[in-house]
Amino acid sequence: MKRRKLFEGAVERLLFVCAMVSILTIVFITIFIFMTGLPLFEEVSVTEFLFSDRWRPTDDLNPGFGIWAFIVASILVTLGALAIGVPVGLASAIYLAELAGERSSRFLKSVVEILAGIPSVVYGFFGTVLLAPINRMLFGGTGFNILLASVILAIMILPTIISLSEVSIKSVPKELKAASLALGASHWQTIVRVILPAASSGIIAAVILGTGRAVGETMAVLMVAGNAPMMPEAVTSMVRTLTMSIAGDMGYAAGIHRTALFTTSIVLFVFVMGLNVVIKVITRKGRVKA
Amino acid sequence: MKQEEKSLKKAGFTLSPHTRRVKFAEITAKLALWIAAGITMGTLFVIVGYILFRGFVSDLSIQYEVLPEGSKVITNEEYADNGLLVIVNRDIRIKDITILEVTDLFSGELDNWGGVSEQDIDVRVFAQNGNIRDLFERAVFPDTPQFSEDTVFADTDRQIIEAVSNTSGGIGFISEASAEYLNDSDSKSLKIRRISVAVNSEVLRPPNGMRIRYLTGEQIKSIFIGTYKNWSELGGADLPILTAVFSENSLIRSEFEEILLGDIRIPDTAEVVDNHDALAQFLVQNPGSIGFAYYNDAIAHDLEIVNIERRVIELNLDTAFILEEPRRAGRVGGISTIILNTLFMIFLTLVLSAPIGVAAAVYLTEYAQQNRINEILRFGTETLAGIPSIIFGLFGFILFVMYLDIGAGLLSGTLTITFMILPTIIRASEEAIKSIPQSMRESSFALGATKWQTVTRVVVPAAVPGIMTGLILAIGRAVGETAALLFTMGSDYRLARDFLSSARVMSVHLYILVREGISFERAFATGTILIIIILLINFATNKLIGRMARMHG
Repeated sequence: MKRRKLFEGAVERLLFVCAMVSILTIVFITIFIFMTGLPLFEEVSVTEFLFSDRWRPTDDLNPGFGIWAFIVASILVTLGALAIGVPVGLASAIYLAELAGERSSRFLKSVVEILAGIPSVVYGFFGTVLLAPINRMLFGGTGFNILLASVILAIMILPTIISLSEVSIKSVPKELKAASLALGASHWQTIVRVILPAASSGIIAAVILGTGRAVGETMAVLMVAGNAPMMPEAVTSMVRTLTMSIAGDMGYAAGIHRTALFTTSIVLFVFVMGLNVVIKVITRKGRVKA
Repeated sequence: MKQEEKSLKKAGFTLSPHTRRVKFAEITAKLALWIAAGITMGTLFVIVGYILFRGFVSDLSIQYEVLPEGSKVITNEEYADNGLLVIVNRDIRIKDITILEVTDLFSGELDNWGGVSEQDIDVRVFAQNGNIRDLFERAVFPDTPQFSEDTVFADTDRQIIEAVSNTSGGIGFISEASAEYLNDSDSKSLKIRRISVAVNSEVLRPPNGMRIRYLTGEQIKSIFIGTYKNWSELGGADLPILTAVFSENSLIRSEFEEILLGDIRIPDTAEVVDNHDALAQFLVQNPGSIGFAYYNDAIAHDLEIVNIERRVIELNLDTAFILEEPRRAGRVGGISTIILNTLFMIFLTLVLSAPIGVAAAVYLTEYAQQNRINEILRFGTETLAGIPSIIFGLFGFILFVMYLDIGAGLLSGTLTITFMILPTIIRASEEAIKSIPQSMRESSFALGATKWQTVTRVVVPAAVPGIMTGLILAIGRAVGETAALLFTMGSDYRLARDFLSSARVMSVHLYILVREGISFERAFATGTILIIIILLINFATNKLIGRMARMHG
């Protein structure tokens, strides 16, 4: 009996260790990235790193390590993706939750799952071979620019936005809908004034999660955004985002240049972690309200 | 509802402006929702459809200096009644060959079939020493005949056929009269594409205006039949088209008519020239003129050869692509080693992550109390799922490549991916375990089982379909992952020899093919395999979820 108890205790501890792996991974990622990236600030000031757009990491005489242009590019590309992806995704989610019959709902859900499963290189490749030439025809230039990156990212964040919004719309209590309809509101009025506000915290969480996806996406953007390390001037500018800078230069960077890439990843990491905390806060508030 | 409205309308009632506005808003809004859902579905169909289509069908446009068609028999005026055939071993996957390639193959310039038939086979040359050697040399070698050093000479056609049939990568030539012996041999004769189309230089380089970059076989046919009268009709400069041909009983003219025009004959309006010098002179003197000659003759007389487009529509993703090893950076060959590397990676990843993930899920659902620690663990899983893959890549790079110094290879990449897909496995397993009815646990406890026995013999077995779903989804993520592997897994496209050797997986291969501009056709084929895997995964998870739903009623 005693041995059995000991065994059970050991098993529980082992399982606990396994459960700790995720959180430990996060801790280690944080430690490693900060440890490798922070030494940059011995040579470059924080303000210069964040707010200068002079990126000359390989210039021996007068190197520049400003990532402001990449930050702006990341923000623009992400906003573009949200501007396209959120309306389409939210509308699809409402369709899925409120209008679709059983058959079309199951079909659309499959579509969303497959969209979520398609590898990001395939999205990037698709953008390169089909959308870039169209973009080039319409707007001139190389065809690889903010606009194309936004469109591709919008497609990539659709699954996140659709499935999470749909869940939160579906979890709105039936009574609310019934009460609204009983008061004489039309279906659409009910959706806009009752269901969506009630589901808002979940929808906002979906949008934020989509934002995280878009900011962190690397391969697809790397293949379609043009990769020019300059301050963007228009939606047809070729740009380099934070992730592109890391993935594009990592292959050959050395010394302080490589350090600067890790520092770039700190910015990205802090941003994404911030989004995660915001989601946590919002969903908890939502739970309290419901 | 509709019926009611209609009867009300008949009775003379009308909708108030407000109601009409509400109804209008209702209809437009729902239409917008429909359209959005349609866009979502349409996007998927366009992406999957386009990549699958281009993955299976390759539509290449290649420009040659000779016509896209040829005839099998090589003759010239002196040997008009005894032509020769170029034969190759049956394993060589081509039906026709340009005269330039024949020259390069026999002279040893090309010592591997890779550049001709995309097969990694060494070229073995056999030459006939008898009566047709002179004809062959004159037709194939533009100046001094120069056979490859390794050429094996034989005296009779039968010996050549036998040698070529028994030698992988063999090529040789025989006289036309011996063609019947090919039937029951392992050799085949090839069509030789050797007619070039030459034009006046102003067609290719007009002083002002559009130049002709290339012509298609169809356009050349129309030009010689007389359908086109001016180069501007073909997008070129404003020059009249003047055709020059050899006399009607010349061999080249009948070959040209046979392979390109079919039953149609070249009309009499064409200028008839007697020899190559006359043709060269005519082409120089008349702006907009066009003629044809054998490639070697055209080169010898300094004719301006126009490029001819050949469109090759064929199966892109075939079994050879899956079964053959990649060669020359993936330009030729298949992706078998890359598929195997991907499978190794997935297998190793699952071996590492499945036990940890399921154990974590068991702890979170069965053991953990609802307290602060549990909440932190859960937050950890959720956050880990949201961390961009490039950060995992950097983490793996720092840990495995910089600190542990095991280099970018199979093990480093696999461990990196393991951390990445853990959340997927944990969450799916958690859901599956949670959905097991409490009553099952209680009956197990009531029978005297300990907690561990209950978990391993009752709860986890019942949750297997759900756990499987999580594992399959994790496989999907691992297969498509690129950014985390770029700097942790390496990019060697050969088969991984051990855990530390650099290994390229499919997604990385696709990226490299596109980035280096190696081959879009190959990229399409690789993308197609990736998409098929994703579709299969979707199919499998849906099946499993369906089964789970039935099991738990």
